[in-house]
Parts: sequence; C-alpha cells; structure tokens
Amino acid sequence: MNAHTNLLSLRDEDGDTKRLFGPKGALGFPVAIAIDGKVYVGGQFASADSNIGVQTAAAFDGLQSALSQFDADMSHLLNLRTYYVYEGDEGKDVTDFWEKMTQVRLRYLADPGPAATALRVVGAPAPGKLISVDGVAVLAPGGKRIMPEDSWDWSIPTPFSQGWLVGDTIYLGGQIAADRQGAAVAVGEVEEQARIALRFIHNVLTEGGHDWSDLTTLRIGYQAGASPEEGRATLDKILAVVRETIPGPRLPTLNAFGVDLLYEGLMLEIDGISIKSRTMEVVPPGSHNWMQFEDHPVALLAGPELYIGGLSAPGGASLVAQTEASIDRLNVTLREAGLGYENLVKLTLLYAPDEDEAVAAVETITTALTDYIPAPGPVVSIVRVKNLPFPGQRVQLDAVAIR
Amino acid sequence: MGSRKRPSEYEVVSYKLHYRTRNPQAPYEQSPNLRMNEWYRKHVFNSPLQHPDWDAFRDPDEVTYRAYCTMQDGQEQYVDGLLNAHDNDKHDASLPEAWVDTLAKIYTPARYLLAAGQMASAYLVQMAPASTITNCAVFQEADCFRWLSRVAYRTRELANTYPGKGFTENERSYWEDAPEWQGFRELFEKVMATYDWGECFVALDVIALPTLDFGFLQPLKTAAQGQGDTLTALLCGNHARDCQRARRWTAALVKQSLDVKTNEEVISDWVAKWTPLAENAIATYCAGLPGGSELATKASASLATFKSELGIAKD
Repeated sequence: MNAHTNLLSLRDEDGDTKRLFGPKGALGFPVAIAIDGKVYVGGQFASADSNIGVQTAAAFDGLQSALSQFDADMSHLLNLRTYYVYEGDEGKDVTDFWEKMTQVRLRYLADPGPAATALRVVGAPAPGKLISVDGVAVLAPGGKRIMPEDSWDWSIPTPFSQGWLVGDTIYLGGQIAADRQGAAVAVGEVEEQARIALRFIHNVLTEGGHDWSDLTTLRIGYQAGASPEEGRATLDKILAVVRETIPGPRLPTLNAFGVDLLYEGLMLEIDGISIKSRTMEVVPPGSHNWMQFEDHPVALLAGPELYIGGLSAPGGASLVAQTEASIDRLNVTLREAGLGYENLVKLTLLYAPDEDEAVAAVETITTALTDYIPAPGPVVSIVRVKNLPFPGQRVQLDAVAIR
Repeated sequence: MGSRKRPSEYEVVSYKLHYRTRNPQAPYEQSPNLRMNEWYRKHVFNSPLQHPDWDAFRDPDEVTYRAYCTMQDGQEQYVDGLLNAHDNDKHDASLPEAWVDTLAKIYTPARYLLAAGQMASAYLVQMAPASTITNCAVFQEADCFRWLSRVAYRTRELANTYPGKGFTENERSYWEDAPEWQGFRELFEKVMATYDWGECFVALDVIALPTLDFGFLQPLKTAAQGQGDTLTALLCGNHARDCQRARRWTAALVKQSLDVKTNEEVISDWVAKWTPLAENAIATYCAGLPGGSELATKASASLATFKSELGIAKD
C-alpha cells in the first residue's frame, strides 16, 4: 500500500498525475482508479437480480474487490454513496427495508466507517438492480473523523461518520433533518428541514476547520413528489434557504435531483465535498446559455482537481441526444480548465427517461459514454432517479477530473 | 494525453469556411464584373471597417449549430412550460382590460420588429467577411425568428381570449401607423437599407438590437410586471438572454476591430449617426407604456452603458 501511495503521487512529463486503472467493470469502465493517493470506485452492483440482502452483499463484495486492486480495504473508504431501490409501501416500511439492507452493509464496513449518503432511487443502475455503491478511499493514514455533537444520528447503531477530514478535504456524509434517533424533524416543513441540514453541514465544516467559502460541491437529493413540477417546487424552496444560508460570492457547484428519502417525513438529504485549496471557477464558453442553476459555478478547480457540478442539456430531445449533449458540455468544461476526457477519474450520471426509453436506457447511456470518452475512461456510476429539476430533463452528470 | 491540443469542435466547424474571401476580385467566382462580385467588393472589401484578419474573430460563447440547438431546446422547453402553466391558470382572462388594449398596440405588433431584426441579421450572414462572424449572425437571425414565432403564438392566444380586441387583425396597421412604433420602424428599416457590412454590423448589433432589448423588452417587462402580467414579463426575460448573447459577440467583434486604429473613428461616427434613431425609438415606444418617461430614461442609460463598455468614445 505504501509503495502505491508514493507511486501515485508521481507526475508525467505533462504534469499530469500518474493513474492506475482497475479491471473493466459491468458498465465497461474501470471498477477503480488510483491516483494521487486516492482510490475512486465506480458503481458496484449485483450481476443478477435477487433480493436486497443478496444484492447488497454482491455490491459490497464488488467494492471490496475494487479496493483490493490497489491494496486498499474498507478501512480506507472515507466516502460511500449508496443508491437503493425500494418498491414497497411508504413510511415505516422503507425504514425497515433500509435497516435490513444496512445490517448486511455493516458486515463489510470498518469502524469507524465512511461519511455516507444513502438515497432511494428508481434503478441502480436499472430497475431490478436494487443497490449500487460507489466511493472514495484514501490510502495515506491520518484522516480525522468528524462527528459534531450538534447532529443527527441513525435509527440503528452504525459506524458511519458525518464527515472525514483528509489533508485539505472534507467528505461530508448526507445530512438530513433528523434527531438522535433518526426520526425526521420539522416534518413536512421543507424550508426548516433545509435550514437544519445546512446547520449540520456547517457543524461538520467548522469542526474540520473549514467554512462555507471552502465548500466545493453540494448535492441535494430532494423529495421528488408526484411530478417533476412538484419536485422542482420543493427544490426551489430548498435553494432559497441555501441562498440565505451560504454567503456568496464563493458558492459550491450544485447537483440536485428528485428522489425519495429514507425516514418518513424527510424532504431532503444534502452532502458535499469541501476543499481548502479550491481556487477558481471554470466558466466554459457558452455556459451563459445553458439551462442551469445560475448562481452556482459550473466547475471549480481545487489544486490539480476539477469538480464539475450537475451538467445537463434539458429540453425536448431524447435520452441519447441529451446524454451526448451533456457529454459535449463536459468536454467544453474540461477543455476550459486545460484538461481533457483522459483526465476524468469519476463520473456519475443520473437519468430520468421517458417510459419508451427506459428499457434500453443504461445501454443507451453507456454506448454514448464509450463513443465519446476514450478507453479506459473514468469510474462510472449510473443511477435512475425519479425526476430531475429542469423541464424535459432526462440526464444529469457530475464528474471529478485530475490533472 | 493529447486531446486538449486538438482544435475544439467550435474551431473545426466554424473557422475559415468562407470561399467568398479567397479572391478579392471575384468573391463569387466567374467574372469580376458580375453584379454580386461588384456588390461584395464595394460593401465588404472596400468597407471603411478594415481588419487584416477577420478570421481571427472567435465567438466568446463558441456557439456551434449543435450547441445552439441544444441550448435553445432547453429554452424552448422552458417557454413551453411557461405558456402551458399560464394557460392552465387562465392567465390571459385575468388581465386588466386596459392592459389588454396596451398589449394589442405595443406587444403583438412586435413580430414586424422581429422580422426586421431577422432580415437585417440575414444580410449580415451573407456579407460578413469571416465564417466565425457569419455564424454569430446566423444564430442571431434564428433568435429573432424564435421570438417572432412566440409573439405570433401569443397573438393567437390573446385573440382566442379577447376576440373583439383586434388581435391578429390590427398588428400591421399599428406597426405602420401607431406613433409608439414609428421610432423602431424607422431604425430597423434604415438598418435594412444599410449595405456596407461594417455599418450594417454597427447599426444592427451595436445600436438596433441592444435598443430592442433596452427600449422594448425591458420596459415592456417592467410594465407587464406592474399589471400582473407575469407571462409577458417572463417571456421578455427569456428573450433578453438571447440579446445578452448577441451583445457578448458584438463586444468581441468591436474589440477586435479596434485593433486597427482607424476603425475607432469609423465606428464612433456610425454610432453617432445611429444613436439618435435609437433614442427616438426608445422615447416613442416607452411613451405608450405606464411610467414611460422613467422607463425611457433607464433604457437610454442602459444603451449608453453598453456603448461605453465597448470603448467607443464619440457619441
């Protein structure tokens, strides 16, 4: 492991960080990429449809296996994102479902465990696949676990963390408006829930020596509601609170998408990444014309790392056309930062297809990605969400690239 | 790790695509005495606006055909949403009657204004000395057509709700005779009769289209908000995005033009020539709106600010 830690810090003659690729995974992209002392793992999911317990074990076996490619294990995993599908009754039943899934997850997790987010989605990556996990492991020792006193806690004992400070980076676990027993508070009051979640985020930041101006990415999973319009109305209320809470002008990149939430009565979950060395906004040519969250930067540079927020090309065009157009905007953004597709290390693509596009959606998306992005490409997670924020929007992607 | 060293998609599909600039004697091939060749030599090669390398121009937004379709697909979807939502809410039926009369007079005739903007842009498309400039004018032309279509759609909607108000019937007579439109009509019709490509560019993109934004869209938006007409206000707001993009490439082209010292006076003279027409357009149009005097002052100030940002001294 230590040998890799040293090796991964080397740079080639162009100044690009040396990177090592794991084997190709089910989506056709590397299961993991090791670079600059970190291991990025793409979406791991079960190969066969089965019950949630079996699929959870298979996904975590995949995660472990991916980490082991670089002599890492679960104790190095500091950031974990879980996407799960639950199609039963609402309310308490979904919490019970999450607890059963988590009992399996606990067999794999180290203690202390990663800063984690779990979002209820429609397909992981497609319906039938009930769980997908991805994450970031840090090879070097010395990370600081952050567990603020003023925070919420899970409904069952878990080793999850509210945040991890590594070097100048804080990985924030998903923050929700819940009490110490994991029960939602301010039920049905979306603005108040947003204030509480942001307060918890700020607590993690300050305990790690950061502040709002260091926050680099913000991801908001909001209650999707019965329609995209209803979901967007909820998101607008959340964003109004974000604007009043996070003082500008240094705002994070933003990614927002409609999901269902874990605990009964929850309207949102927010996570993110904070980096002290965030330096400058990247303004790609033409981005003034994009339909996007206008207050937030398209992408932010933090040292050699580029964090790209929720890119999309909403409208009336098909899933494949929107995917290609979004990838094109990704390319323009990378280029503006002096990078290219080859610098990508992680790409997360969320999709919300029309029904007639849904069956072949994952194949459509992976084909488009491989058409544009040269092999071996980044680690990739693909997740079907309930809806996305802009009219007609079918695709949204975010990415991390490293020089 | 080489793709960053390759030309961008914008460069590949936009740069140096005109054949008409290859032969200074016969831009359109055949005899140099061909009418089209004479026209192009006179109004482009011999224009007072000169630059040794117009092909060096780059659209700051790097809009390509594909990028244009993608971005406007999103904007059109947004506008569709606005129209559907307001239709569902019976928005038009809730408008004050006096405001409906105002819309009939000072909003729906705007399709003639936008058609003039479209035609003037089309001339620039045909004349511009570099394909990167032509592309910007092409998308500007498409923007005008986009909003011409939307105004026509709104005209039909308003006619459906108010069959006795003359919507779909009186627009042409208002455009030709109503005092509110005569400033804009004179401005745009004179732009359309301006054949020198450089003057056409300055008259259209430095003066006329910014005046359309500052002196038509913004005052109409403000007045609509005051009347509870959120739909018209939101449509004006979305239209203004296209105008902002046009001003970005206009500013870039003026900046490049000012590389040549003599162009400063050329452009300043044209600006001085066209500004009174713009001021008249603003004043006459705003006079038809509630609070028109204040709106006109603000519009004139916005136009003056834009001109000063371009670094054009004379006015």
